[in-house]
Amino acid sequence: MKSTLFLLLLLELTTSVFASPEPRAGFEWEEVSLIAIQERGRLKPLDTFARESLQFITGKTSWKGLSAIECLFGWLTNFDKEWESEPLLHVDHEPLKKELGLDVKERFFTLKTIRENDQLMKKVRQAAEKERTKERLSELEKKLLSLANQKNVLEMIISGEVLTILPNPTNIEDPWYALTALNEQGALPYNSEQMQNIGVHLKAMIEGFINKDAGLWKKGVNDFHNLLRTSLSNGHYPKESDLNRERHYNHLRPFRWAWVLYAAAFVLLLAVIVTKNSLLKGMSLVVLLSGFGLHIYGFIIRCIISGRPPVTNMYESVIWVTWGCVLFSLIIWAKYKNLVIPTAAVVFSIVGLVLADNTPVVLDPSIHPLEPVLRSNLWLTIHVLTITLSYAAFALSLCLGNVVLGFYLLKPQGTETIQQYTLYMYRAMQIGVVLLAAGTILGGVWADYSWGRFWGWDPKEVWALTALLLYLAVLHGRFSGWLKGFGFAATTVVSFLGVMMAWYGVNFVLGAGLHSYGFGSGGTSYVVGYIVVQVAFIVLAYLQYKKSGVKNSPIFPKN
Amino acid sequence: MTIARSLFKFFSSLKLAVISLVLLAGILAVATVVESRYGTRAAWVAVYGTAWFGGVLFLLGLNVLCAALSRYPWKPRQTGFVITHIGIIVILIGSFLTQRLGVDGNLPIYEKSADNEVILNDLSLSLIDEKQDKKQEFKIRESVNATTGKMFSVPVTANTSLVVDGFIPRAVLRRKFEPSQAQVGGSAIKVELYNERFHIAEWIYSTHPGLPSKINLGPAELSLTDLWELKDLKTFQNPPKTKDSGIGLIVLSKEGRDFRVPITVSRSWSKVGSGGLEIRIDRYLPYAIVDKNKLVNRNNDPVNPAVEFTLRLQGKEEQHTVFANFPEFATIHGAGKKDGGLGYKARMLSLAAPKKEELGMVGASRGELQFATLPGRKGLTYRALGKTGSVNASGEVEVDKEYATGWMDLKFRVSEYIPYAVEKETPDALDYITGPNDSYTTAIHLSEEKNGITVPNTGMWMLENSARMLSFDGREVTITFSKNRMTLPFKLYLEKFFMGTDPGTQKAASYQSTVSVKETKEGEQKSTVISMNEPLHYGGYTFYQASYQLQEGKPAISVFAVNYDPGRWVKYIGSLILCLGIGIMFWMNPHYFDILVGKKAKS
Repeated sequence: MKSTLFLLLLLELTTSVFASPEPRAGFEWEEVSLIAIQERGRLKPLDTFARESLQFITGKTSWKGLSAIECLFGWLTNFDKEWESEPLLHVDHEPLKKELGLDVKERFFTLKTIRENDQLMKKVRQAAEKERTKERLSELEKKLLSLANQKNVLEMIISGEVLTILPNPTNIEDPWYALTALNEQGALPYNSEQMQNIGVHLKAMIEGFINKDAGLWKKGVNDFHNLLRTSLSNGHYPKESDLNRERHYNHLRPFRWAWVLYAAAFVLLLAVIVTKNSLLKGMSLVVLLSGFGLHIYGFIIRCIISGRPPVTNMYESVIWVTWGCVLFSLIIWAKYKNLVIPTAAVVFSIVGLVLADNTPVVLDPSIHPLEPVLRSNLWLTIHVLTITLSYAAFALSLCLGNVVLGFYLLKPQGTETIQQYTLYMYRAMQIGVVLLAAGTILGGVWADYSWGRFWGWDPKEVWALTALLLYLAVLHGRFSGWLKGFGFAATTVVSFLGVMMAWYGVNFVLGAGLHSYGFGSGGTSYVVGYIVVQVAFIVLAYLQYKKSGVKNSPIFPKN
Repeated sequence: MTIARSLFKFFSSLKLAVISLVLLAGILAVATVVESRYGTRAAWVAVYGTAWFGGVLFLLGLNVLCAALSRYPWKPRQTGFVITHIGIIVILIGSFLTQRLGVDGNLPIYEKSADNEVILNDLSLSLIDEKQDKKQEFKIRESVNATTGKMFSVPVTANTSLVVDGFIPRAVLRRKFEPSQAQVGGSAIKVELYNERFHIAEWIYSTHPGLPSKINLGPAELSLTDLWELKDLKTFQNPPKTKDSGIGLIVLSKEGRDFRVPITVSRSWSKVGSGGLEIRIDRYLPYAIVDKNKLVNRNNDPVNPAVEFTLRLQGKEEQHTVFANFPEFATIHGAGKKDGGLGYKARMLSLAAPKKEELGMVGASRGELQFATLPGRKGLTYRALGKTGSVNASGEVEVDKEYATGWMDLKFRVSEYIPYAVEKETPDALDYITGPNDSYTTAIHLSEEKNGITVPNTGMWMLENSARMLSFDGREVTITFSKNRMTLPFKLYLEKFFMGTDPGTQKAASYQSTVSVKETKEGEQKSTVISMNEPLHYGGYTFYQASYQLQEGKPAISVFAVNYDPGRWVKYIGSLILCLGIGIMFWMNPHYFDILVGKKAKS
């Protein structure tokens, strides 16, 4: 498969030999990754596009030591020489591989294998027709369409037709032009001098890339980038600082480092709890707070890049909730001075962030434009942030509830300790109840403001209410005397299932309703796995507690 | 007294509170599953809109009220508790007011027109007898799943009645074509158009013999023509360079022979056939209306095309007026029309379609794929035209064989060909929802009953928003099946609908409508803009930008959510009280209030 760029620039290159892709020594990638592309309704640096494409096609963040941007240019300019035999397309669904007669043991396939699969396109067409007529697609058909998409994206990169990097000189928001437009007579609004310059600079870039001439490449990239920013765009080009910021965000991976730091803090905090060493304590707090700081720093940068508060998809809410959980643990720690509180909280944050970092299919980290109804609205932002903060508080009460259950399991006689941790858990739950009640009402205010009704029995609303009712039932159960020590902790932990349903289940399991912007699928196995472990833990703790014969004492410590 | 007392004690108990909270949570959980499986309306029909669900909420309210009252006289430290519980009761009262007195509906308006018919949520069947000026309305009892069996019957005449005996809450219309037993009707073909990345299949049904029926399919325009006679095949294969007027044809028939005359207003005589018949086309009216007993043209939008012409044969003249939409009208009529006794029957076939407002397609040329059936439907032929109108390919078409179109590496295949087809639209019931993009409507089944026995072959389906004219023993009634409507005391006029898109995509980023209120007592109001999150308040009603419909060839429709909510402020006040109460309860030292009223805190 040959790049159309060759045909288009009439390149007569000294053909390079067939070779497998390897990092190009002395090449600089920064400049080229800052070229802007208009894609899926947003202007972003090529850096982001390359990362998202590589991730989508191969499921990886780099390929054999090559960065995403290097892969992108390899595909665009020299696919047939370097990449033809690379198994790039990631196929994991076993029934799909069987259906297509692919080797079940392999996880990656070359473009050639997939293209030449005579079953694929026939079945894809049938599935696409079903999708068009809105018939229900089977899991296999969804995976089939997804593979076809992977293949299409790769092909469209090779041909250059998705690389909409040629700016619109009249308005930055108007459609930009893909590289393939260079091929069509009169498709571009540039004059002949500009057209000639594009040719010269692109040619330098490609020649430099193929011949591994770092100097030529650098010059081509610089000249081309300058041409895009000034002459071609007529000044209608994204700000350098915006593109740089997004690239910085991509490179920094703040949330990955946040969980790494939290994990380190967790180990140190455990050591402090055991040894009571004051030096270790200082260290652990520094590590914890730097993780916390990096977490919020990444969050703020992401807000600036997307130009909105992070309230729209599962990935962003996981980032926000895991941060909130640590925040509340620090507040309660400040009051009660017990390091177990943040120690328990970081466990939740680590799990959440690790999932966000590693399951791009379920928790999509890419930044998308907003749905119309979600734009520029104060109430929306407030109600979502309030409700998700309540999830964070409930998550903390979940962690602390599990600490209480842990004590029932290991040391049921330690009534005072148990009472103490029950109080912390209760405090977290109180924060949650206030925030969730307020957030649900604020959601009503927003719904009234933008949809015209305060309450519409939308699943997201209903599940927020259901979660609240569950916690209220627990609180009233305590007042009525039905729930004592163990029961109180166990029901608090179980009530978190309501939060999980409101948070994850509505979007990923129920899949209906007006709040359907954040919809996705997948991740069910993780959730079911968690529920099984949690229930087992409660049962074990209960058995141990019964065995110990300790009487249920007042829930909280005196005073 | 003791019964009342123990009832009060029961309703104020904390344990009942726990039970009703868990019960409500359970019901809500089930309701959301119903919603995800059977749709939003089903959840309303099965749970939220039912009396028993109202009862559960009432029970909860009663519980909250009794709990608050049972602790009277309230102690200062119960301040938070009392305020919280009052807040809940106020919210519940507000919700009750909204449900009883509020209005929640949709108001779709075409661009450049005014409307005041708000579509509500309940379905009803109406019988209208225009002669007797009588209208009866019946509410349809909805169900979660499709139901059959007699629901209710309406007596129409002394011994016949109309029976509603089927309901489909999620009906998907399937367009089907079946071979006609009597060998009548137009032909129908199912065409598949595809390349590597794209596959699309659609039926084309020829509705007017001799004229192309067109559909747009992806990047192409497809048409099907049933040719009249063999010489038409030549014109089909090599169309004349000059384009015809595009208005249509007049078809003259006499003694089994048809003559076709293209409509061009020239006011000069031209020959028809070889028998000496001449025709003069006098007037073409794209939008004919009768004004003061005269036929006049309203505007050039071809809504009701008509043509006036004169026939001449051996010195005799006669004048005709034909309407494309009403072929059954007598064609020689009106003041000053002469009947020359020539014995020709005339009808008009209109080619003109209502004006296209091209949306985002300006200047986009597309390929054309034209099909034609040979006279007597003896075979199928095609031509593929490129973007410039040049013929890329042509020839005979065999069913299920692949042909190239010559553009965009697209290929086509005719997978089905029915020479004489009858169109049937039957609703299929969708068992459950498959995704958020499902589109469906509701349908009811009606049949006729005579003396309590169902008359065979009278059963028919009616889809939501449709009307039928039926005759029962000579009594004519119009039956409509639609959502209930409410008429606003004023009209909303939609001046303009605008949709903004995300950079470089067709994805809606924002939409807004410029509207003005009309026909009010205070006269016309200034125009305002309604956009997402920026509603219009007028006359106690609030209008929200809810959605829109853009269709090629039709004016844009902007849909507004219309809302009237007398409980709104009650709910807002209740919410404030509730939040205040929870805040006090959880975050203030309860003894603060004891100290405030001068009592010493007890430990």
